[in-house]
Amino acid sequence: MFRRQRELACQQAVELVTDYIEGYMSRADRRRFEAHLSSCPRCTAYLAQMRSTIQLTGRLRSEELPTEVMDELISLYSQWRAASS
Amino acid sequence: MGDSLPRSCLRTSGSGSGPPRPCGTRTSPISSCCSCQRLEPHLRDWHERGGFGNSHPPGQIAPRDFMFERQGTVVATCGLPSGGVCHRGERRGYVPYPSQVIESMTEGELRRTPTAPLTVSDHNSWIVRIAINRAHSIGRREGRVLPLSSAEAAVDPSRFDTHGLWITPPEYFVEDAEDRVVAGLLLERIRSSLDNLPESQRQVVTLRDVEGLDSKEVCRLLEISEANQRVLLHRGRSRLRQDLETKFGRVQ
Repeated sequence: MFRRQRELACQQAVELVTDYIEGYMSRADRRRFEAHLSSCPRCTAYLAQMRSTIQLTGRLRSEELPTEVMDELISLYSQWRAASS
Repeated sequence: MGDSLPRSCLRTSGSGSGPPRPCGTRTSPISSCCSCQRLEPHLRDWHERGGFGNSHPPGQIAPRDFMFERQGTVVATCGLPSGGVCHRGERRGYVPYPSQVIESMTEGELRRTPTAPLTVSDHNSWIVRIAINRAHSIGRREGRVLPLSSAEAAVDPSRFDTHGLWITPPEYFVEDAEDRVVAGLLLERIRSSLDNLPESQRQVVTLRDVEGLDSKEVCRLLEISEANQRVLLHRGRSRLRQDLETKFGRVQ
């Protein structure tokens, strides 16, 4: 029973996907997460979809970004510029 | 081929993805070009001194002179040593931003701009690097915390039962991502989804996953804590995945 309580639920696992992909997890948490994946094809599929989403986002080129996004980056720069002058 | 030759104004009307249509106004000296008058004095001096080569191969952009173009609209022209127009009307000169950035740059920074032809991607990275360096120079505000909604979940809670197990599992949408048509549709969707993200998530996802910066750089750039960056990245990516599933997902 104690062991079951420490197992991850799917709802918890999906919240840890980015930490797992980014390598933010401790070794113990990583083992726990991977143990969940080994018995949960649905969360495994979810993880694969997140990886695919990141890969797809990486295919966007800066010059293809929406104007609003680029405007934000420019705005960020302008703020730094103003703050440093 | 010298700076004394008359130059042609490349100012275009409207904006769009196509190449700019030169207005054809011959201008000499170049400082009389209407678009140039928008420049700050130090840039105008630099502009008037400018002489740029025009031998850059397609797909590359001449150093520095790209800086005054935005979204297909030339907001300022500079350095046309041949006085010609056609070679400047090609796709190679475009980057989607940074005229405002460049107009605010110091002459010293302009002098340090890359001197070899660079790809658009190279230039974008360069702009981001400048921004990061600026962030360094004004110091970091460590530990700045953005307000985050604690209610936002990566996946709609109604898709799980009371034990947290999937009721409505993720639907497949990416097995054909290598198919060019499907990949194109997915990319188009990603682009619009990114646009619809909350601002802070959009900034983090763009810098991390499009620009390829690492987490430390993003934290410095946005002046947010590492924990904030992780949460924003997670939520942004989760929303993008969800959007793709909503649009393309199908139960297997």
